[in-house]
Amino acid sequence: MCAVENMESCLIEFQNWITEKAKQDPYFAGTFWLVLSALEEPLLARALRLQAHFTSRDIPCADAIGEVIVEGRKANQTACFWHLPFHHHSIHIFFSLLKPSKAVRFAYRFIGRARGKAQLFPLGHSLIRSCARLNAAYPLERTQILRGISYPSRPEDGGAEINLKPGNAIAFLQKVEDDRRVLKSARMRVPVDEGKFCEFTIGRIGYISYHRGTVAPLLDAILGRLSNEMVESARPFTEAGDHFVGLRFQDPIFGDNRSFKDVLQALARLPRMSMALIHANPYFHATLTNYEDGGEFDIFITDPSTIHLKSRGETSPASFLRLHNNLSEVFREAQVSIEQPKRFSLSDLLSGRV
Amino acid sequence: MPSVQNTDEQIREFFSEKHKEYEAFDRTLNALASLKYVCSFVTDIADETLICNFRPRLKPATATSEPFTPDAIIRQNRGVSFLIELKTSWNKQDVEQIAKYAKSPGTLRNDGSVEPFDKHHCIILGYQNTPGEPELNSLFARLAKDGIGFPLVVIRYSLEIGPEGNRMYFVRVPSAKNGTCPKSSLGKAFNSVRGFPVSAESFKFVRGGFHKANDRIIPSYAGVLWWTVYAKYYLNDEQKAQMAERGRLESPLIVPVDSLDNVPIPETIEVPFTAKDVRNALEFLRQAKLVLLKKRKKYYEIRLRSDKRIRAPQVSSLLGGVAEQDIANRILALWATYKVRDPIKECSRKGAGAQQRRRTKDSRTGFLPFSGEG
Repeated sequence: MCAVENMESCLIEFQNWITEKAKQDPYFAGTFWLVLSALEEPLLARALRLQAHFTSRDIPCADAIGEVIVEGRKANQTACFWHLPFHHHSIHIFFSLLKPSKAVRFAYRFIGRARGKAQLFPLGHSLIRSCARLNAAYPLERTQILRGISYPSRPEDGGAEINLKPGNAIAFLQKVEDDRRVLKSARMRVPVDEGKFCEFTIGRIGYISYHRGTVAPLLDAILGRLSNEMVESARPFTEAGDHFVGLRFQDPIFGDNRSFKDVLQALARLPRMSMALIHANPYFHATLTNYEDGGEFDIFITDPSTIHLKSRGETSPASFLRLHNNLSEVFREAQVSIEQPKRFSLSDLLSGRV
Repeated sequence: MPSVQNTDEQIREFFSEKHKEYEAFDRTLNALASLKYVCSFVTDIADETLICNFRPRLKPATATSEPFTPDAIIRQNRGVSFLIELKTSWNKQDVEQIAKYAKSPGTLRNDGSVEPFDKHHCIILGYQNTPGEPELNSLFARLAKDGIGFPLVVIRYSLEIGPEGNRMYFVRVPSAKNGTCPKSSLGKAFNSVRGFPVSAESFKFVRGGFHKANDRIIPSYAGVLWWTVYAKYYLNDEQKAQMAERGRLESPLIVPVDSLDNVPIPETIEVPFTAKDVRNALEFLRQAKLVLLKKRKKYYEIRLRSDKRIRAPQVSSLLGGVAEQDIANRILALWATYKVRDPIKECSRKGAGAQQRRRTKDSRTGFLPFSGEG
């Protein structure tokens, strides 16, 4: 791992290397995978089976590599994830050289090795919006969205993934908000200086893939502003302990029992878990055991716009994030808060206010 | 041979019956959670409450029987105590049970000593389906005959859907003979003619702690909870790794019968399973053919799989809408299907007996030198 005093030069070396690579390859995709984990680095390295010594295809400054081999029908396929030592928080950065669409399968296998102690950090609408502006001197409307893929936020709305009409970022993001769609990925060209730009793709599942242009402002944003925002948005899960975590959605989407089916479907998409519906009439109560990370949850819906998660025992923030992400993909972004039981008086009880 | 249509109808009937029972039991747990919430977060009541025990053991009046297990004992200051028993509907045995509770000298502490009931003691008996007047009269008459000096208050509890949200409603039964709770804030709430509701929004904060009522759990509920919550605790490290990576075990999970007494208790559970509940759960799962009992080897063999690997039975109309997504309904549907189509055949004892008789009748031993009259 780079010493702290060498970090600056390490980062510059990496920037130069990736810029040079991008110049050589017109289809270059250097992908930064953003991984939330509360584990210390040595423990994370052990969990992800990272190797500290590697020789081939060296990435400047990378301090460890994780190799993932997937058995294919004709031949085995391999993908490498390099750990970059630049992070400051519980957000770890892994780097890969495959196109994100090809690497995603490997990435899930790679992260899965940590058995829930690490999780790709989903980049929601607000984080994507934040990434679309890398220099405060240039307004958001100067950012060009080259390609955007979205899907409907509510299952009953129907429709599949669609390519949104590209254009300036303000109009594009406004359209996504107005149509209540979930943005899956967006390729954008962001101005960073006069005549200079950075072109990258941002993926909801938790990656930013650099293609061309000036990389420094993008890396600065990832390591600074974006990481801070991510840590801040995961704070309720870090502090949740045995409290209730409320995921409050903008609209009253759980007005009737039929919507509970969508909740079950959203949760059932999580692999390797066991879930029992304790009660669906008149309110929703399910119990969930996630064998991947051992997390146990009670899930309640007692009002039309909120899902409450209650963990039993010690549950990692990444485990909460996994549930949150799955639900957000179906029901759009939710405001996360920790909730405490209210106190009432006897007169409240007798007048039906408890 | 029964027609397919009849078989399907039978399965549907079994499923529906089991499902109703499951939901009714769940309502009882909601009611217990509501009472826990009231005793913890309604400040007037919380301030007066000294002990709120949802796993009490009562000392029987006669030394010969096992300790009784009502649903709750709430002890408050100024010598007030409530014994709470919640039921789904009337049963003839209720009279006897309440009479036994009434005669009990007090609760058993962990060290085996008895903590007598307080000066202002009362029994609260709750029903989802209110019994008729003759049943209630028989209950009050029995207590009067036994000379019980404290009140019995019969209440009704129900989960209601209203404009303010879903709420658990408690209200005293309007019977002339119904008792009156002692003077305390909780007593005042139970004495209220209009009753009191506790919203699901509130009691959900404590609901997860109730896996069962103190004295009982129905086998279907036990089976579902065991599969989704307790099974995890029986896995060794290697098996945990297999479940984490593949969502299924490479070899069956073995739970020896003699290890069932050690029940793993998940954290933050107020009323967890006992050994008896685990046996009930495994028996139900055995009937749903998710668990095998190897009687000779004395262990249960469980092919533990995550949700998606348990296939719902073919009678698709059983599971519709919300139900098809979840494991509770799939387990109940499996149980109902096998109950009708392929019930488990228990080993016939008749055969074993006949074999035994043949052995005793064996005349060949008569030729041995030490047999017969000698």
